[in-house]
Amino acid sequence: MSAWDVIVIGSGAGGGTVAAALAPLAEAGRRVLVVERGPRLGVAHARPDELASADAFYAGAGAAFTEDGTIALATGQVLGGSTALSTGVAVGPSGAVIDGWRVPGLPGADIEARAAAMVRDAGAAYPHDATLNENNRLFEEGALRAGFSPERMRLLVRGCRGAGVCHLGCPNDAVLGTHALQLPRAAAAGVRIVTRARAVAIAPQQVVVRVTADEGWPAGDHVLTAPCIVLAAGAIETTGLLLRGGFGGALPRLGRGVTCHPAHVVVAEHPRAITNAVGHPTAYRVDRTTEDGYVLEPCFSSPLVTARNLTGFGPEHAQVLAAYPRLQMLRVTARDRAADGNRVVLDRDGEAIVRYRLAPSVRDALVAGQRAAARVAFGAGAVRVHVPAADPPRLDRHDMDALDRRISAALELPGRVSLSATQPLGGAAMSRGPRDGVTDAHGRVHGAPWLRIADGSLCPDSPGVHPVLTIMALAERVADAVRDDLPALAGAAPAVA
Amino acid sequence: MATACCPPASALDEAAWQEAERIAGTALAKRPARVVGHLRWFLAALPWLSLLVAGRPFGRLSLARRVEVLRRLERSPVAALRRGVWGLRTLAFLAVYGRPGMREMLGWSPDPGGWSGHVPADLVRPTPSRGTPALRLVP
Repeated sequence: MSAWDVIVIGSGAGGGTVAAALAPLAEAGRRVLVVERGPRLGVAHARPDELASADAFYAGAGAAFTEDGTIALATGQVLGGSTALSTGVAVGPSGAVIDGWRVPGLPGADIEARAAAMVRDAGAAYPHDATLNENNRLFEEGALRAGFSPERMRLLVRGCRGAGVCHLGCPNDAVLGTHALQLPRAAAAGVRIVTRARAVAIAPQQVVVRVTADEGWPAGDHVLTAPCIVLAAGAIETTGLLLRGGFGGALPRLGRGVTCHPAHVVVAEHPRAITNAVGHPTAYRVDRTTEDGYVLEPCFSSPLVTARNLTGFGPEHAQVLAAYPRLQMLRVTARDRAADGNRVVLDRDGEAIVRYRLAPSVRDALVAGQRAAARVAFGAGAVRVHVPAADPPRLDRHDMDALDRRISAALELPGRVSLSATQPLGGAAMSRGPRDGVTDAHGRVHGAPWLRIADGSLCPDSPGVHPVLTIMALAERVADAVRDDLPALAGAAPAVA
Repeated sequence: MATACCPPASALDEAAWQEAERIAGTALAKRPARVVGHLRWFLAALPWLSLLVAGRPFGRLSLARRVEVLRRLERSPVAALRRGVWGLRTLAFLAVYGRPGMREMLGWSPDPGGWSGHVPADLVRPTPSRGTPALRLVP
């Protein structure tokens, strides 16, 4: 058994931010520990290999799904969490959306201000024209021709060489995830970071951590104690840990209200090869969240992931893949809303899984987004477009006038179309009290002041597509409260054997 | 079945098939039991489903008819059947396109050097600063 002052479970947007914000405590002699289930990125990704990266850096070895197997969940399980495998897109939260959550003591303006300061401190910048590839340029041109207003996004990257494999872990360490910014700062201040260490059980001021490989600590189970434990292992893992710990009895909303921003990839074939695999993958967006519930962005995926993303199989599927160097790729992401039935539950083995059903409004948003993506791609000069909710999925230019008929919600059948989600949120939402949520506005679990939550599971509803900055700002508030509360919590902590 | 889902599988020689089977086996070993269980159930049901849909067991159909049977199941109102086809085809894609050398054959050669690394000669880097009057920035 080892004793700490604060234990942080997880190192992604939430855990990494908490670790950095608690650095002054470590400098003052407090024992602060971060445990991360995944490994460090290290140099293993210097030569991009998608199977090896999926295996090493993603939850479920890159093959995690919702309970019914219809939505692939791609979340990072590596030091820095999903921020280490992201494109670095930095979209700030909306204060109005946060205020709409109606969590007492959570002013949207505060979240906005914290996120803006983080963007400023990290030096996020708009990408220069010269760094954009044709996939981005075609997106911009096509969107303008289709009557949309594309916007260029700020990126949290430094020294991007355009390797185009952000999702495998940038080989040039250009992505400024928490692994690159917050965690090194925390470690320099004395925060201890242990990787390949999974929290498997939690009890008052105690956590059991299973170390699976020797990356600092010997393999095996370690019982750790601390007056304050912060859960930041991501919406699925954090909620699962709480459910296994029996918190569901006193907190009936635990696990409920999960959102995940389901997404499709629309693939367009051009008459000539285009630069897509080289250059930053995602510099623009068309935000139709308010009007139609979706966001449209350029994206990039490897041949293997593209094969999975396409709907269908057989000769037509093979023909699309054979045109790989000529493919433009666009991602349609729906902003789903919290619903009671969409929740984290435990399976027979006690592992957390997401029970999720597409709401009709989400289906409509995905269909509207696919129609828009087809218009953008044809506007950019594509000769044919592969759209999941069309049958057959292939649409030619002469179908342009019939997009509304050819792309239909009736064909948006889970299991037929490929859906993925990288942003599971909710499950341990902030609320007024224990009957309507899990924590207060500072991540204090109702009825368990020693336990804090500091990740996306705090969100009572979707904050909007690209929630990283929202999570970071929420986590920073949680850390502030930990600093304030620690003296009292430490005074009340039980003696450690 | 792999060839019905992924026609390039028909070009695999003995060694390539072994490699494809190894990749599929490794992937399945890491999948949750419920996912593997569902795929196993679907594979066991496929001959009977084929009998129902096409009048003959799946293994005795021509390649074109196999594709047609899978297509009908893919559009089925029964979600479990759609998921079965999805799982089968995804495994086939992984086995075939996940083999070493396939990504290069399809035209993807990732290079850490990015723009300064190897960029195929027929690809041009976009001209910078063309300028877009309507350019908007996300605040």
